[in-house]
Amino acid sequence: MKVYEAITEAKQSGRRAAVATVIKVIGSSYRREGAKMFIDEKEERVGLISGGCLEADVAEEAKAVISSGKPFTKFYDLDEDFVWGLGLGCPGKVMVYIERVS
Amino acid sequence: MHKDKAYDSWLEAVRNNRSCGLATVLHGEDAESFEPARVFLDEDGGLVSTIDDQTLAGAVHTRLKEKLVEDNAKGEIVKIALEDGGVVSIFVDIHHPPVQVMIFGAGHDAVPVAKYSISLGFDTTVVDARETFNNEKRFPSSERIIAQPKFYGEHINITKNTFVVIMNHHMEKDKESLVFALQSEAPYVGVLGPRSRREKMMDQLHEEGVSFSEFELSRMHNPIGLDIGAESSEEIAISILSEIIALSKGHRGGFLHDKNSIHKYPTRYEMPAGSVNG
Repeated sequence: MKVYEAITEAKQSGRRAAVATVIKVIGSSYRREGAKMFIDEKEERVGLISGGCLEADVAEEAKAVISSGKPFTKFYDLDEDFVWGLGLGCPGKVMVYIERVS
Repeated sequence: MHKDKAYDSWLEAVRNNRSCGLATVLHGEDAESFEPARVFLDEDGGLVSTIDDQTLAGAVHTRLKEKLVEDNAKGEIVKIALEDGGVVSIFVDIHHPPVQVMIFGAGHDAVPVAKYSISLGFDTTVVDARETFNNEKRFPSSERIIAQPKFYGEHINITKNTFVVIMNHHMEKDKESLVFALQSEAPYVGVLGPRSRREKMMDQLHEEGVSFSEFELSRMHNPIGLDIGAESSEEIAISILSEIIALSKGHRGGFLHDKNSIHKYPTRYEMPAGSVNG
């Protein structure tokens, strides 16, 4: 619910922001389809779309979406050995849709 | 700038705790507009569409309607064939109001139930007339209703998303809370305590001339919680909330060990909650 509050607040204040939504999950993942993260132009984030694995990268992509206004779908294929090496614990294939919402 | 009436309707419906769906056309690389076309559908059938192609809009509307009736909480990508031979990918997002947990009784063992309930993101309410117990310090972030049982009807709103936990540690108060809660739409009315106490309570209510319909009783759970051997207040709170999580998602509890699938997508809790499929 906090994500929706953040979107509404951004729209009202005119602050530019994007929302990332998990639209497809293949294999294991902490969050399911529909999970959302809000990112504003100051890179403030609300909500989680994974167990902490994708948030930083998605926030980076969101910056481009906020400036261009063009929605973007990113596919992550997280290999277990690779993410473990990064100290991340959530392998799986995840599609994330990022769009500007205000 | 985003001036999307379907998206605005979605935000408003979510804010108002309504069940609703939003379908968003996922852009191809060659999309002409950055503004995604969408269809919003509210639980009462209210429809807002910004998709120009009427055939496509109709197909999306049909899929949204199916998803809302399925009461399936999982979003999905739907591919719809166009008349010109192309295929459009659409993400169908479904929102259902958050679970509400209403705790009758503000004793020391209610404190961890409320605390964990809030951590889980549940709208949490504590009902107890004793302000020395039912206060902000003991129940931060919970809504608190200070009311005697005879005034419950005026102060308390129980919906089909409200999971009720009765833990007054007081037979008369528990009886009054139970009678009140079973008359509501609550899918779950849990009564703390052993089965023998519940039977005594039901006997007393019977002698007082109170009778329940089969439907009313079908929502009553006792003893409550998953069978994890909980003893401390904290453990009991985890046990109770585990049961609420499971029922709210149509699961039955138990160990995942050796199960082929961790998540399943059954219909959400049904009325009665006890009838959900294993």
